[in-house]
Amino acid sequence: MTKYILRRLIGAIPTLFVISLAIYAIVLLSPGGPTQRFAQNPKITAEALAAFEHRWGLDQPVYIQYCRWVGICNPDGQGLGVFISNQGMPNLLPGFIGGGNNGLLHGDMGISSVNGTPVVDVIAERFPRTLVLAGTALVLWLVLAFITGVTAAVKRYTKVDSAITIFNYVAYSFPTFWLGLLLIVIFSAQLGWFPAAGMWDTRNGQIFASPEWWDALFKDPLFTVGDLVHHMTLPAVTLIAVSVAGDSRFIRASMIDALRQDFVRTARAKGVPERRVVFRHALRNALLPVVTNIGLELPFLFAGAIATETVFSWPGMGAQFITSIGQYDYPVVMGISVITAVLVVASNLLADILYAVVDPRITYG
Amino acid sequence: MRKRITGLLAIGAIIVSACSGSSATPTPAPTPVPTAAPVVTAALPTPVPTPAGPDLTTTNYKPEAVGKTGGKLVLGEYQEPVTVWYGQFDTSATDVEAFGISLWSLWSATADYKWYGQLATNVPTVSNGGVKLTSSGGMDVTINLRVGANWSDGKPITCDDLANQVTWQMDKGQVGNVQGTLGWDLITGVDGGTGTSCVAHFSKVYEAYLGLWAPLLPKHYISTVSAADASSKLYAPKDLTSGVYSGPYMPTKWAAGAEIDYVPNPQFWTTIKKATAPFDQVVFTYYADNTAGAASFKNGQIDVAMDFNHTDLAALKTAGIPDANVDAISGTTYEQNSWNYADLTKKFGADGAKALMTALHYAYNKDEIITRITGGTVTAICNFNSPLTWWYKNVTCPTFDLAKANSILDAAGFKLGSDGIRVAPNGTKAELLGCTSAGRPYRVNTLTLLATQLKAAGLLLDVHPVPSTGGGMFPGWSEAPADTPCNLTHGNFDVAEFAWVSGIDPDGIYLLYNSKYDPTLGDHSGQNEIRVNIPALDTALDVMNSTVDTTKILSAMATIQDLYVDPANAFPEIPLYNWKTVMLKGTNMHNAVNNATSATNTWNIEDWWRS
Repeated sequence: MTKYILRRLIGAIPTLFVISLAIYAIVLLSPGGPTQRFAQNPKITAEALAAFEHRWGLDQPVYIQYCRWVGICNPDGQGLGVFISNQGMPNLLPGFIGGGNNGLLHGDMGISSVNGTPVVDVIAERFPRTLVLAGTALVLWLVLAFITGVTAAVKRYTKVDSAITIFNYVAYSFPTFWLGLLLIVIFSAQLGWFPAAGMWDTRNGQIFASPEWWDALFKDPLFTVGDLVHHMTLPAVTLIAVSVAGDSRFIRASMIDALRQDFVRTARAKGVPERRVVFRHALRNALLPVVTNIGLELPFLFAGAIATETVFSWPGMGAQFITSIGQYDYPVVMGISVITAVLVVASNLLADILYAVVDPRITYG
Repeated sequence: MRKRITGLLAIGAIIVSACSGSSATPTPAPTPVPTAAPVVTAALPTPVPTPAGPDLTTTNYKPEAVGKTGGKLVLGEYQEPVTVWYGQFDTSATDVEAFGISLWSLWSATADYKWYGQLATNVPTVSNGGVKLTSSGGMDVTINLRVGANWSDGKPITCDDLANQVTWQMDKGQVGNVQGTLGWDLITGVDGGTGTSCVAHFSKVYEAYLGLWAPLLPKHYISTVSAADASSKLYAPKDLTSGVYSGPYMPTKWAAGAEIDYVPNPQFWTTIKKATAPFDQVVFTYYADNTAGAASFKNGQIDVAMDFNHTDLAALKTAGIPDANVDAISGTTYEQNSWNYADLTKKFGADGAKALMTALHYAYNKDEIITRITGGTVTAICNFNSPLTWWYKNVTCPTFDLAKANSILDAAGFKLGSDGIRVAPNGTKAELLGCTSAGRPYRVNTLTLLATQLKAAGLLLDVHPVPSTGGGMFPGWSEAPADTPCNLTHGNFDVAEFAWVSGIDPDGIYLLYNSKYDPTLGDHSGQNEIRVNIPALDTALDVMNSTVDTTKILSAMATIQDLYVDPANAFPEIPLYNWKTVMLKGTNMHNAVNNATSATNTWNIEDWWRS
């Protein structure tokens, strides 16, 4: 298993390389650019525009820009010297053995072209907030999908099954952003039950994960956690509605299939209690395709967070991504895209590992 | 897309392509009236008697005395600021809202469009002797700083700060500074040293001088790094407490995507305002959507929610926001149709273009557009500036007259074809391309409705919505290929709908309407995208731009407005209506006065208090 994981991790490197190349090309070839912010500003001369482009390396060919961003090229180099670090060694090598210190290879994602904040800091601040929302949503998603899916399968063709089916179809039909707005209008503007925006109570709470927040967590955990849950409810529901509905249907179908198998009939014939038949025999066998599906869907949790975070002003990576695209902040867009790509690769790897966990017949050599 | 403030108060016209923002209507905007005994704060200048010319400074703003102090003030906006360096490295209005409260300018604008001193105690004009023309064709501007005023770190605010900012602004190493060098390049020196009586020497007359030093920057702080590194190393979002400020509240923490926290600037309250700060803390928070903003206000999470406009009024009512909490005023953003005169000339010849443009002024049924598109929440206009500006002229608007439009076209030889579309004398069919942002459905609907109106005059308007990705219609000359459909700079449109913001200073229109700023000329940075070329207009614009005599400016602006409004001049811009600037505020909020100028709603936050 360890060898397999290592092999997959090594195999992920070219995948990520190709993904980063594709993302970089898409970002740079898309219309507009960082200089767009100066459009319609008569005070910006052509000379000032050129200075801006030079400062951010935008005056270089796209392949040089990419090479610098990855860290193979040294921004200070000229000609073939771009491949040599300021310490005289190949730039792509780690800095401590004489390589460069710029670019992804060296843990540097650049700095925001909008406000000069290192991209790593931008992501470090935003990622935990997205993780809290997406992680909570993931747990809720799986629990609800399994409960409704298994229930619908066990009670198939009953009123319970019909009710769950109708709920699933309705939830599956909602566009995420529209559902979010609907929930805000009903549960925040009209009923006033939940906050419409943000991650914490601006008036009485503390900024999430700040030292003050940790203090508050220890001093008054009920309020602090309750405040977080209060703010998270609507975004989490919005984020998982489609996934729960889809996976519930998937689990139902998989379970119905498993419940019709001979080994289930045998188990029942042997007098195994129904609960055990369902959860130990049928569910375990129904899990394999479900795990595959969840592995593929997991990245969408983060992708879905883009719309959800924007609608609910949840200050995570998704909202930052949208903001950065609007500002043509290429370094931040690239940084978040790469992190998302890593999550996709990791999710698929996780799904593969889970196969072996849920099905002992599967081994990786 | 964000609302942009180009050059802040100095620039009179800025684009609002796809964002919400402020507004105005031709009816005089309500003058903010205090609810209790008026007390003029130290923040406002003593009105200087003007012996002649228009009054630029006498405001009706009289804030109510602070009745209660303490607590946290929560402001809400629909978008996050970009940088503390408002007016320097970004042009978003939200930056001014968020950080105009931390970094003051020499001068700013009241809600009733009057200039007042922030860090200066005088508003220098020719009429009050603050501006003196020199024999060499330049001018000297006397600026009196507040005596004893300190930066947040206790260092005095002096003329040296002014002088240094000129040098800094002109530094060749500047990167991405949106103020450019316009106006700064005319300053040959600032006298006064470490004192507070300063004189700025200009080599030429510069009309928009009141828009400079907005904001004023501390010499001892900004000179610690090179100009090239300033935007990334100073006022960094992660290190706000090391910044040096001059405004009433200074930022302490910026939780990206969530909120900015402020505390009172002790130096401001002891050396400038000489009072107790009404609030212990201020929080600037943002919501991505106005639905969420309205809900947050209704739920009591926000004291003052800003940056709504007339398009939100119905939704606010539906959300159950009481009228008493909705402060809607007319402002400076005006929805308009820009016509490409060069393209019309190319298609229909000089005479044909003039006749067509003249006819268009009569063919617009603005009342129908307003009723059907905005639900009647705004009023039709025919002028490009707010009635509150000191240079506004109350002109007579042409009225919708389809018969007159048709007769003008008939007389010019535009024959009606069998398909109901006219053909110009040169044989060109009267087919026109209308462009607007696809992301703004009301604009697409407006042009679609206009198409039906123009059809009645035998003109075919093909509406082409432009996705906002890649800057939509607005990428500059070098950012978009020459054949980019609907690109304004390259002139690939017949009519484009978007909004402009007129400023407190008329200088901005110089760049919009002067024929020498046709973007096809020179370095292509010109903003005259409608390619208007009227010699009398150029003359009036040159007079306006080359004098600081407000009487002369007033006269020149009257000429310009006459030329603009009279259909006979075929001015290729047709304004539709002014937007409304809408602010939500609790009835317990005092002195929170909606300000539609680029000084934004937080312009007088030092006077705000909550009962």
